[in-house]
Amino acid sequence: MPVRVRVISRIPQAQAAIVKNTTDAVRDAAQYGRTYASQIAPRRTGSLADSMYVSGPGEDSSYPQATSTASSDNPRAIIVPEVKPSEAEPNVSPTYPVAVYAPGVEHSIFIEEGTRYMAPQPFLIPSSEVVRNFFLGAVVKVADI
Amino acid sequence: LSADLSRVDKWLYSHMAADNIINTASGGRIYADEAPQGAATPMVLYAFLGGSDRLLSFRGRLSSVLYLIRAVNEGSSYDSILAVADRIDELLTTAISDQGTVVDDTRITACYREQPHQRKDQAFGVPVVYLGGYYRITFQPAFQ
Repeated sequence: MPVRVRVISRIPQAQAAIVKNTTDAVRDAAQYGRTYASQIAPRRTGSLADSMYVSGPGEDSSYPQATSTASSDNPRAIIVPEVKPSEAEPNVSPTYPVAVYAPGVEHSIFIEEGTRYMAPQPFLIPSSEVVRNFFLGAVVKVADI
Repeated sequence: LSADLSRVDKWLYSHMAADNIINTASGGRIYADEAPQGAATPMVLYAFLGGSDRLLSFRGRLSSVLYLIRAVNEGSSYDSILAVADRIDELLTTAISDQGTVVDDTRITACYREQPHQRKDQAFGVPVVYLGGYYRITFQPAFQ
């Protein structure tokens, strides 16, 4: 009895899925990190927590809204310029998805790292530890179609 | 073993305090987290910043944590703390043997620098410089 085997290539679909799913994974990981950091950031006026933004992938950015809220929370907070993915990772091709999550106020560095007379109250490093696992979990599924 | 970070703190302090170069250059001023208000410089600061656990079995757990360890001095030049920062790096990155270092019931298995750290800021118009690194430290319970 003859047996017919039909081979269908789904490589084009897999390629498209990899691009879309990787972009989604990067976006989701950055959003997760932003939310996590915002939730554990110390709060007095709320400007630090509210200033957390995501820039990328592509032109997406929550910087204007986040820094506007931070300014409303604390008019004395000094707003720092947006860190765009192309600045954070200048050697990565623009075709690859890159996202940045970062605080938009200047005093964040003193909270995160502390000073000689003030202990650190880190919120970015703990979030990055969690985001690493989150991203690794998401990236193993990028070729799913 | 919930207090295993305290063992890491203890190891960091005892290791740096026992080193002649660091102890002499910092005047013995080695502090966890922050220095007492008004403490003189130069000094060495170390602080836990974050970490994660990987559960291997019921009792087995591999922890990976990040510490910011740095020399600090008043002034606008890093020159005054170059030697201390260099020595901290040399000391910590060569301290762990293949078998690890056991502190109480915690086995510290690795210590290496993950990022350099250099910062300059001002407090009441007085410039302050920081030099050191973010150090990854891994440890696990030391079973007898």
